[in-house]
Amino acid sequence: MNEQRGGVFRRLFNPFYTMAGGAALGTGLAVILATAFLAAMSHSHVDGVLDFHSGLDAPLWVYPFEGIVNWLSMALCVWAAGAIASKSRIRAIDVFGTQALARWPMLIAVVAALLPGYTRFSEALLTIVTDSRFARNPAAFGELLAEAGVRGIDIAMFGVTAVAVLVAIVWMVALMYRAYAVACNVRGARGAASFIPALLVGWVVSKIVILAVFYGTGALGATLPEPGTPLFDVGQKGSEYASLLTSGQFDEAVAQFDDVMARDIPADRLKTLWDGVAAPLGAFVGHGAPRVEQRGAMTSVYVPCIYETGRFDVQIVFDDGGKVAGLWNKNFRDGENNRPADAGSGGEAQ
Amino acid sequence: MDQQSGPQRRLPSACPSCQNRLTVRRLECSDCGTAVEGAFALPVLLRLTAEEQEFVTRFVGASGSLKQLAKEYGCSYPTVRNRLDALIERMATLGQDAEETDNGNE
Repeated sequence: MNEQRGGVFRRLFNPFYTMAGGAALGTGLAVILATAFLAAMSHSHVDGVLDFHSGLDAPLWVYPFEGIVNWLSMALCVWAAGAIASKSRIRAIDVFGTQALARWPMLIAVVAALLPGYTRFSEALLTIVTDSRFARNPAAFGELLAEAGVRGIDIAMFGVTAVAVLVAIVWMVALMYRAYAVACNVRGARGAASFIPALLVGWVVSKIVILAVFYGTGALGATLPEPGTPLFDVGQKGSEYASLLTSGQFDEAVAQFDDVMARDIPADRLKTLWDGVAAPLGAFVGHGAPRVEQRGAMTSVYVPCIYETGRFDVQIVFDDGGKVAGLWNKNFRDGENNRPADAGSGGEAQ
Repeated sequence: MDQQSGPQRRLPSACPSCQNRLTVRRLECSDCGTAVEGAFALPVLLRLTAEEQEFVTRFVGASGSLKQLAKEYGCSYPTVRNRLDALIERMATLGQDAEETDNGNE
């Protein structure tokens, strides 16, 4: 059997010519565990058959769990595809073993993610995209990067890692197809036509299983909310929003308005409304514990604002996207006519 | 050239000119010189390539064990299995061709 090109080329692009079955399974599982160990060092997640993401810290068990789920999802789907498309007898050990071994290029991705510049840039990116200054002025991205301490060399390392990850994923998919072709004896048009659906289904299955376990166990610091509840901690969000108001950051407060609020309440009007209530009460002392009420798609958070000589509750209404759809306090007054004013359509009198 | 020594000859199964199937027309005894002439079809096994014939020989020598054969060839079990499946298909095709030719000759 000398039709295969030998040596290094074959080992890199078709290791299954010489290795399948139990040997491939043992080697592949060792590679998956090594990948998990290295991924944990850089907080990188292979959180799907074709996925690679970085930045989120997680318990140690998460990393090998991701690798095992990816392997099993793909192997089961390929096994099913082979049972339908192949005329040969298929050994399960060959399918599972070769699919495990096919994941070895992800080692390249997790090693590249260890570059310090990549981690620095990734973490800065996560911080910047949630910064209200970036939301108001995307052109400030460069300044925000500099503020986060990101240098040119960090951006270069990020670029190198991104290319390495892309190469690793493409290489891995090529190996997964080759593994399928050898283990199930399916090639050509029939091989491609049966492999592609198996790959897509395997990918979806892996994502569903991984996300279900993570949300179910809170492993990544989040749990699945009850149906109908907003997908963010409203009490915390309400308190943070009230802090913007009590500290006079009205521009940042207006940046979180929905479209209607933003059109009707510019920052200077919001300042007028707020100062009309807060200024007579003296110096700000602190916030009390927020109280949350849910009405349909809207969530109201009542945040006690405590001042030197008095206190009041501000009602902040969030829509299901986290935007401020209403802002209310019974003492808000329209500056011109001194009649009661509500900042928005979602509030109600206290 | 002495027929008993010299380079080893392989029995061709296809015409070197037009690639059609060859048939045996004459068989001769090397001891007494008796010759038999006719039209004899080559068996399927003899129409395989040298590499395929070697595979079959080794397969029989390994008592039909694909595991053993994989070790001998230094490749994986599914690689050998796939090779065997391809050979089975080829032999079935050669056998069908032979039948069609025989039916045509009748």
